[in-house]
Amino acid sequence: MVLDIRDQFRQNRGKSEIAHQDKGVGLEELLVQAACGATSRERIRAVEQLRQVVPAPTGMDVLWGILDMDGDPRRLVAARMLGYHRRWLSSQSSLNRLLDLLRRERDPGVGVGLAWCLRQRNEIQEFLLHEDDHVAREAALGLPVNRNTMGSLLQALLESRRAPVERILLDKLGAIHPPLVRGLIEDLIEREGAEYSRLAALCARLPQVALFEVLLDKRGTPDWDPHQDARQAARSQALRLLGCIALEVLQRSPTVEFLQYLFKRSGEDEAFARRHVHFMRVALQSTDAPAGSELLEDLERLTEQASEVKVARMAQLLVELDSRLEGEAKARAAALLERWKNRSATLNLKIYHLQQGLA
Amino acid sequence: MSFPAYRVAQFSDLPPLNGPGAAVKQRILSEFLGNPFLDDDLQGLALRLGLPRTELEEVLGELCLGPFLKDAGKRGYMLDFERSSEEATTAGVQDPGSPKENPGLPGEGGAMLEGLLESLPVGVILLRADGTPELANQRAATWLGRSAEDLDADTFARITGYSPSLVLEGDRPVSFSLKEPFALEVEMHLCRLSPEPGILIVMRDASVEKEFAKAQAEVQEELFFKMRQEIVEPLLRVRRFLDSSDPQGLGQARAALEQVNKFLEDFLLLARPEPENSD
Repeated sequence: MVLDIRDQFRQNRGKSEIAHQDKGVGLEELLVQAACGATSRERIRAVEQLRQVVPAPTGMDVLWGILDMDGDPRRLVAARMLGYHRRWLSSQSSLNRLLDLLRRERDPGVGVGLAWCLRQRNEIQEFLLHEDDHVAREAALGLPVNRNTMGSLLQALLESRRAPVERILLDKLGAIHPPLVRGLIEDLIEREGAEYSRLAALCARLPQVALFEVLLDKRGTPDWDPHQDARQAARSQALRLLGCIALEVLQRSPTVEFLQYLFKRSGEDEAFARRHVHFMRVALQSTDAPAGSELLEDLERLTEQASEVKVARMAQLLVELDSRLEGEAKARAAALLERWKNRSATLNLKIYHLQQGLA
Repeated sequence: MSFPAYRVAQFSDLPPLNGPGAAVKQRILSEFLGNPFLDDDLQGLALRLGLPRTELEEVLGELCLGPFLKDAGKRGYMLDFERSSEEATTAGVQDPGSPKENPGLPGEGGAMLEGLLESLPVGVILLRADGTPELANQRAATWLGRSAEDLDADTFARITGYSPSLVLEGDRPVSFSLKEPFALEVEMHLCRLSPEPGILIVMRDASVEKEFAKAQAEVQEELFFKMRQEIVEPLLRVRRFLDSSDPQGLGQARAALEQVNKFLEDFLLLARPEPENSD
């Protein structure tokens, strides 16, 4: 049983508004002090109070009114205050009002303040390619990454020539939720004429496991259709291009998490291990010593009480990894291989052949 | 940067930034001084500054230890006005608007008491029977949005709606809660200021409880939304099928039931089917 307490907030809202009706004048004074105070202490004290005062409807009218007055020195602080106390976002008309203001804003400082008001709102995507660099940067910072904003994000990333915006959006893609990668790739396929270097930079930031699953694992490859039309052919071509980029990115700088995923899948699925043996061999050559040591622990764990077939597959990976290991990790790898060899004569021979490069 | 940069304070107003990472600290503070309402969390700041989170975390910790930033929990990091403005004063910044010394606390003993008052986690106001202020700590002044010397009985009554003289009329303490300008639990006690009676007002921060209740309401909203989406709508589909008995709707009805089933399983309201033994 869930107790519905939502109405409590609706009831309290009325009380707090009444409490602030007498503060409309004070709010304007505070805005003047925060914007034009002669000393830093005066400005700090005013901003401190503005942070604590939740504007009532009359206060909100004051803020909107100030923002409507071109050249008013309080506009930036008013915009910042709206961005801090964002209860107004629940009103579609207020949201539209802010969007209108931002669209026609000529003062870049105020523009940035207004863009900050829309952080983590889908509406901010409209300003990713804003003519002012600072507004575009703030829009990129505030952009939530989801299915609805993915198109704008990609467009900005592929068309923007602003390094800060590009850096922020690429950083955001680095933290993207893996299930969104498929949609992103689909969107990329539909876009024509994207530069190879930009696509490569983009793919390099995506979660590697998801990228691999979408573009390189069997599930991602398109079925060949001899009757395909020009559009389908272009799609296949784009998919192949992205596949090449993903291959290059994943082989050149695989993350430990991605290699752990490959090890796990290889252990579980013989067909997978056979299909990607070359890919894994190249990827393992890009592994550095600390990562190799971490992967060694993974291999030890994966082969505890595993079947001989699985151990043989893992041994193949360990022999590849061995060349990247140093010091104690190298000794541990050798000991692990010896332990596996002692399991059976067949395994002993198989691992010996692998070590001699005969398998 | 082509637009005139607004700063609530200049670096020269703050204590000097020393030690390793001073350049990074300056970049962080620059963002906060430019937007004193900024409340980015670690991830947001890392994105804003283009710095790795690990590096930033350490520097932010140092800035929070110093009189610059504070960790506002869920809200992120914020400029710590209370401490930074105090430090600005002690660092010798000429500021004509700095608050006056508390008149009720003269001498060394007064300084000790003031130090004690300021370190309390609660806001304290002591009023004389005629309503004039005897002393108030900075926390109380900040929460009520007035300077300490302005906090007399009338001002307090105007802000809170409760007159401190209420406790003079009866001998029982008066308690009430305040939502604005800050979520507070307030208690007013009758006390003795030799030889006259006085009023002691103690305020506690109730914002955590408010945040908690808000978070609970949000979770509830989300649950109701999910239930609307994942139970109510699929069940409507099933109902439509049952009403019309159109065989073409069978597949959809089946899928809708699966959807409801999955939702209930996810919320552990329904036991998951046991995996069949393949032996």
